[in-house]
Amino acid sequence: MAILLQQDTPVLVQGITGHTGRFHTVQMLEYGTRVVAGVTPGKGGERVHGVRVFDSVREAVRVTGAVAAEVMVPAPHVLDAVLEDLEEGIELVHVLSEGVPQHDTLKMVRLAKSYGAVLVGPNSPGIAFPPGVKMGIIPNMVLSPGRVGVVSRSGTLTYEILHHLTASGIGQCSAVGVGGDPIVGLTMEETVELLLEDSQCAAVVLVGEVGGRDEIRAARLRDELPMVAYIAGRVAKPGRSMGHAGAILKEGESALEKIEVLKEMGVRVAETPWEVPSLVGEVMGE
Amino acid sequence: MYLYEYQAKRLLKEYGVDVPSSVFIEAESLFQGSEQDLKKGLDAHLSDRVVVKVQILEGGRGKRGGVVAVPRGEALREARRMLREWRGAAGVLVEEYVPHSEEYYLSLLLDRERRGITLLASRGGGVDVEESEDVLSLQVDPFTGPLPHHRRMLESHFGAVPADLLEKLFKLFTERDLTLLEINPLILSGGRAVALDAKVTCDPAALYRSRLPENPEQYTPLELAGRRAGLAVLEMEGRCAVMANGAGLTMATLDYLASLGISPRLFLDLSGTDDPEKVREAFHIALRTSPEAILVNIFSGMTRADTVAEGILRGMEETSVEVPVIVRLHGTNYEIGRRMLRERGVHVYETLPEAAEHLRALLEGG
Repeated sequence: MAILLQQDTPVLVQGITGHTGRFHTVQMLEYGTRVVAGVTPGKGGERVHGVRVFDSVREAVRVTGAVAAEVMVPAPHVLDAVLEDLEEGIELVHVLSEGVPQHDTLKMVRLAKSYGAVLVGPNSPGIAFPPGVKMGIIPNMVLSPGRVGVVSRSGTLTYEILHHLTASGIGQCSAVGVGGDPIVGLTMEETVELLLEDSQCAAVVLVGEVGGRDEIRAARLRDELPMVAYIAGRVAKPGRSMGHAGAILKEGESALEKIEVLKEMGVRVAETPWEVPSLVGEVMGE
Repeated sequence: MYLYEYQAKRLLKEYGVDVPSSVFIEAESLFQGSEQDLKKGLDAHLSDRVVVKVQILEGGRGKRGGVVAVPRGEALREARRMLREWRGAAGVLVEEYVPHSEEYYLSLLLDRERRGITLLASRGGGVDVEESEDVLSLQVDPFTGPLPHHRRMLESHFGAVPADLLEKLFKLFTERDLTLLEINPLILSGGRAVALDAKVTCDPAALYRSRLPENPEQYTPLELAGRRAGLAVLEMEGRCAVMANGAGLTMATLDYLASLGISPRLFLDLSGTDDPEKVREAFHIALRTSPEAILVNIFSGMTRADTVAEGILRGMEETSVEVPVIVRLHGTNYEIGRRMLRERGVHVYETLPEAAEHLRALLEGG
């Protein structure tokens, strides 16, 4: 059984009537996700590719029974959208939006915990569980079913690595983008803890980058599951954010320092994204 | 994103935290303004002894002569000396000298590791607080703010502090979306707390609501152009401009090139886009760095490969570039994108190693 999201989990999409919302609602439906409702205040009654749009989360939940929410609204509205979800009993919230103020994120993370809900993101590309259910925008074409759990802080770099895994015949049970911001909900470590409970999962790929120490904490579980890591940002400039708000080089958090620590812990570290599949093959064979 | 000390102190004052009386003099007016007016300004606001502090965004100025106590009459001369030494400084802050015997350190931090707000306090401020072992570390809940026990803990460490000091700092920290508010040193005397120096960083994602200055001079003109276009741009010292989509992929591309001995000149993260114009603009920014070559690495998901191809072609057309462009294109609609580029004679590859090999041959040959 997949972690976080099941084949029959009813999902609502906040911001479904926007450009991104429309496009990726179709992608989610095509992949197999049960998208049952959209929410855009003021646009209740419309339909997006057959999905009914509601004015409020309360109405959407009452009519469709949605328990998971995909948040694709502009960053200044994310706190509002997430709180509306939590108050209506949504159990899983995925936030795609980039550029959410960190003080807002901090509040969301605290409140999600106190409501007993799981928050993934913000600035997360998505969560996907091949063969047939996902939230967010991870391209369907790079996914294939199998036994590897990919846990990542990036978007396109994750697609690249998923693509190489799939092309090498190594399928995935989970692909979880935790988000590229300094503070996010579900951490890499918590994701790996969930993967430990997934009997499908036989190995973990950690896709990290400069900044923070989340990869190192996740790697503490290396004895429970074989792990391969790739860490981007060896060329980062100190003190400057490398595209992601969370990718800032500070002491002890450089890509090279983290690579060294991971190697000392016994984690296999790939030099390039396309080296990941062969290392995964090796650790799964051991 | 950093604020200058004078800006940080204006914020503190706005929230009711005491700071020394001061006059901020912009670099320009120090050299062009009337001596008479400048002098009058200082005489009206300041006591006989003052501290002149150069206003720069990086730290460590105190160790390099950027903070000097002088008689008020010598302040302007000292200020000019500093500004001749620190080209690009925003100006100088001339402050009333506040005699004190003990210094303290107090800060609030948006704490990535703890996913909370951390208060740090230490006796003995100064320059080496980070190494000090006598540091009080407390968590402040983002919803309640500081409570009486926080003040009790702080007082057991510091002695008496003004009743509402923590509340004021917390209010400033949260209302203005700060990521660090550091007072070092803080002095405590006669029931007053005075912030002698302050360092503030803020969340760039919250500028739309935090009413804080953007201080564009902390970016190069090129980085600024990138920000305005919604692109993450960093200038480096190497030979080749690198454009990719997504922060992780752009970093991974630079790392791979560096492992081949190809040094990057530009880090440009296109991020997600469905508009060829954004790609065209990125292309223009890349050209402004006068690179020896441009490498584009796209794995399209939300951004479609044909959109990127269209943008690259527009960029090349307008500038009639002589700079070689090498493209790696994969993901959504890659067949269309690759065909569009090949038809116009652009070198396009399926994998990064192939594209990088071409780039290396080209750079070595040239």
